[in-house]
Amino acid sequence: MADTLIVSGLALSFVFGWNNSSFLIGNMRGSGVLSLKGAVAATVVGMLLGVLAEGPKMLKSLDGSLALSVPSSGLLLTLVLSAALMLALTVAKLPASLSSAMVGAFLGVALGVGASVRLPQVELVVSFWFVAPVLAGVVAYLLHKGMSRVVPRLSIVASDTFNRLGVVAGSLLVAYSLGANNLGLITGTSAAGEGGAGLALLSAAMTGVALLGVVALGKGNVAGTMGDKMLSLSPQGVLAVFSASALLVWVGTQLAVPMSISQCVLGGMIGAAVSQRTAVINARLAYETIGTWVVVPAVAFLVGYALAVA
Amino acid sequence: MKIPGLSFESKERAIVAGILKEYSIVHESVLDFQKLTRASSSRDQAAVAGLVQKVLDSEQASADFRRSLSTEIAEGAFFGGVREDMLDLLGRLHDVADCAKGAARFIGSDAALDGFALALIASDSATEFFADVVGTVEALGSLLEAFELGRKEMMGRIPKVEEMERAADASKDEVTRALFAQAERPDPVTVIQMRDFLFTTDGMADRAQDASDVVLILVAKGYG
Repeated sequence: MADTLIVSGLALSFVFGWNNSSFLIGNMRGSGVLSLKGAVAATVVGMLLGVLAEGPKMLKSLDGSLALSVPSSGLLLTLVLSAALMLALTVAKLPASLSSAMVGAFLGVALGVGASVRLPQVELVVSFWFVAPVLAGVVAYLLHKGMSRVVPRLSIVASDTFNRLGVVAGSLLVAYSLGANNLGLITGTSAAGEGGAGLALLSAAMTGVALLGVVALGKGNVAGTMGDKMLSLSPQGVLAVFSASALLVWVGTQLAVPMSISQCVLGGMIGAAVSQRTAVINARLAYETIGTWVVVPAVAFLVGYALAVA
Repeated sequence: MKIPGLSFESKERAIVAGILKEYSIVHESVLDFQKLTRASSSRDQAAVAGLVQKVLDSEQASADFRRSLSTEIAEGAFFGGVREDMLDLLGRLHDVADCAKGAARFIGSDAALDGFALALIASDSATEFFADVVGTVEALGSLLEAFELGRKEMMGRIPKVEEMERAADASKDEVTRALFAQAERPDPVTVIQMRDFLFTTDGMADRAQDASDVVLILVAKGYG
């Protein structure tokens, strides 16, 4: 069972990398700041640091936090169902949230197998999902306001350097926070009691497979939906959004709350857009994205419950 | 520290310095063109020949330098999008020198030896027109120097280029009116050549304004 869990976790990591390729390397590549090798190297550094340094905080985010004593078969079902759902959404080029799919599937499975669900922790997770995008918006607004006071005083070369370093820094922060939270969550769910060097090795393997998804299949289509079609932002706006989103995902990690970077990015984008004033928001696409946040965990929950009961 | 594909300021600084050098070559060609119009007015044919050659040489130097700098930019520098605008800016700068070459060639040609053409080039309105063209190019130079000074300074200098270009347009219109208002009509071919000469000369101011428009785009992209 342990091997099957790990294989499922690796499959989910691959789809996770594919789905998040734009957040991880899209900006560095799209802005021409780094070559593919450089962008991948920066992502490796960020994700590895995140999953190794803070990933263990997510080990018990599902089993042991949201519900107690879910059997390994339930964890396996959670991983497989999440991977299938993420795969379907990624192929359909829709922004999917790994954390909401996993939480929905896990809760459905936990209820289906009769495990004890801890409602206060579920409430914390769900309420944080609503609060985090709002906070990301506020932080992005403040960051962008601050940058728009400083950057215009710089020379054109200095402002360009700021923008280029900002893209790399923002992407590194996102890679770190995604490594800690999302990869930590996958690793924790797949680890089956693994610890110490074994856990570190598993974390590194998850990171490697996620990067394979980023490089092999990720062409920016999914997260590109968020970044390119929903809103136009300046490089400083993107830095503000990425930094704010990474910060909120990091806060979620400290609380062992599985977080969605795309939810925070949408909130951050709106905050930066308000600060930028001239940004254009595609409202229909924004509503569609918000819709998937509700539909995905609900579908994952129902399917997970049905499969667990069956 | 070196990260694959990422350069810090040194390369970008060298490129901005290169753009200023390209401008200085272009500026020299425009100044030589202005000297050429004066030499033509004073019918100093030896000076005319020498200055035409200087303008042609400057244009060639501008083309060569632009090519090498473009290669450097294309090899990777600046934020995506800004890179293309830097290339565009270089192209517009070279276009100014190209217009100077075209106009200088006319003055160096036999057509400019026509008494009517010589008188028009020496007229006060033409002298003012040439000065406005040079003024537009120099306003662009002042704008490029503001690359070091930040957004506010750059935005403040862009209207000056436009203002000078409008002045050049107005004085060109006056010279064009003078061209067609002669009691004794010169040879039609000369009139057409003179008209082309005036438009090519005005092209220096137009291309300088185009370059300032590219700078405006650079400001919008770089400063958000």
